[in-house]
Amino acid sequence: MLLFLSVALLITTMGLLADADPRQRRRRHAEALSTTATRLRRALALASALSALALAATALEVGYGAVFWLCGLSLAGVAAAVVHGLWIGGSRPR
Amino acid sequence: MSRSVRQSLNLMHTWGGLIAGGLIFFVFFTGSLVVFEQTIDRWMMPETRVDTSSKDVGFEGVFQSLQREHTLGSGSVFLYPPSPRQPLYAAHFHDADGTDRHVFIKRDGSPVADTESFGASEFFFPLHYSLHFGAFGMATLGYWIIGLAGMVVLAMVVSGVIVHRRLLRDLFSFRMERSRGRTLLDAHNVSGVMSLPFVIFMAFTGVAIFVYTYMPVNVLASYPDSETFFHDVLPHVDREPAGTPADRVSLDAIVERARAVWDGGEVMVLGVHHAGDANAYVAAYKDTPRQIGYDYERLDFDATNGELLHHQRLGPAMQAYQFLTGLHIVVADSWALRWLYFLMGIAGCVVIATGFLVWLDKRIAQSGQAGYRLAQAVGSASTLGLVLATLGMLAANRLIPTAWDDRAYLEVGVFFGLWLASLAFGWAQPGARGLYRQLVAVALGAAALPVLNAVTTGDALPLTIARGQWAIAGMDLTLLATALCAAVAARSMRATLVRQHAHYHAVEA
Repeated sequence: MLLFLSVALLITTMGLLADADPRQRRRRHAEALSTTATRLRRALALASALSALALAATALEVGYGAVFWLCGLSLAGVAAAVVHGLWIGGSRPR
Repeated sequence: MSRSVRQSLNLMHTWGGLIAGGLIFFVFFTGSLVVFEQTIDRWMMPETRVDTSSKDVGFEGVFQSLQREHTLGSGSVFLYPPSPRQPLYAAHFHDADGTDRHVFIKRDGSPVADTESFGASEFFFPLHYSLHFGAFGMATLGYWIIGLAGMVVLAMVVSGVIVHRRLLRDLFSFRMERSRGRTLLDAHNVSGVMSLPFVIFMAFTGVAIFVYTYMPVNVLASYPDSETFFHDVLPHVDREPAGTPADRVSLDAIVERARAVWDGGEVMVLGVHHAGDANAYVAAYKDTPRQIGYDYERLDFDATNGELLHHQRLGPAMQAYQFLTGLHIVVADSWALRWLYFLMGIAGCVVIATGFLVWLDKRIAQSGQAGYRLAQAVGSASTLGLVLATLGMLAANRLIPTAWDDRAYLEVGVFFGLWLASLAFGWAQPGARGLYRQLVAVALGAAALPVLNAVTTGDALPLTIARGQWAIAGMDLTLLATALCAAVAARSMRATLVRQHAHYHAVEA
């Protein structure tokens, strides 16, 4: 259960970072975020990532928790990039 | 950084990746399979899909069963207890005639019929770290080749990071709406950057595991030979048989003593040496499911009276080494962590495969040249061909009757035969058409395997899910997911073919 929660937080982390990424916003023709909104998203992403690490370290042994967190963060990043790519790329003609 | 250095590194990244890419893909792919070696074993060895609720006769009952069923040699017998991933006992020993034997025993002590398959643990695992060169007495050469692949991975990572100027700015850039070349390069960059930490620690720890093979001089400067060195850093009892028979205490009593010494720790392996001899001893290795460090605190007991002879304590250097080993081979009893290792390994495969495609796409104008054709044939064989060979081996495992002589070797023959056939096919049918056909073959093969499993064993996917046989169900579901991914990739490749066709006709007109 703790690990599932940790995975959810890792996905949230990368989702927030991708959403705050100025290049991704430009690609969507969406309005640029204000500096405060960008910083808020990044701060929330940091808090989410730290919570995910704490949960993973509780569910597994500390070392394995850290490995789980690192790999999970990487995979969540790939997922965020692919979802963004499909979302934006799918709505534009090639 | 000067422009020329970046260009030089770009050159190294491109050509190093092209030359060693196939080997690196191979290491990542087989490593990903090895993460689930025991799960694949259950799929490939239906005889070992047993009921886990039967009475457990313990190590002593299993050892007596082995003595009844086999003519044990005078050497050592290693017993592996049931675990969440292996529902029955396993034993490794040499017969009286010297034959190396791996057998399974049910919890109630009854023997399991010979599986007649190497499974993943005896085929893909040694293939991953030694390329099976050990079978020809050249294991060290295999370690060196794999170690070289690890070093090339590290060099590719460093050069890739330097070559890619906008690493952080492009972190989430996966531009599906742009050209095929741009999309492929984005996929290469995203999967490469995101899997960077995993790839670095896996490549480094992979090389570190065989540090003695790669750098023996440090050891041999202080020790007369490697045996003395290993005895010093891993102290343990190692005594010769006395030649006089003696009674032995129950193995279960020894296991109880080991648990008490480890403060509740469980046995991972029990080694019974010279059973029945006055100098017999038993080595117990502790299971370490919740720590990275592979510190199994070996305990040696006198088998004749159960007295503890030696408690192995690792020094700091050995602890560091075992930590690196544990990090690489993920001994943790966590399905979630295993899946992450598996998926990150597959992400590493995606990096290599997309790198190949980027290289080929950039040089499409040279597609008529023999060098290009060779690169494409090797690239497709070392990526799609390896996947096809694996699927073919699994199909052979389900189709070749267990009664056939040397069935395990026939499975291996199918693996290497298909792999070679894929190389020949890649040469004979270059271009997107060849890749498309291989992708279709992967999709069809992967989709057919769960059906083959259901027909030959009766363990259909809905049944295994209903019974909670997650090893079998998980394997079938992963195969179906593979089929789906290959079908999606084939569809994309078909679109490329249609575009190429339209372009060709436009030029002709």
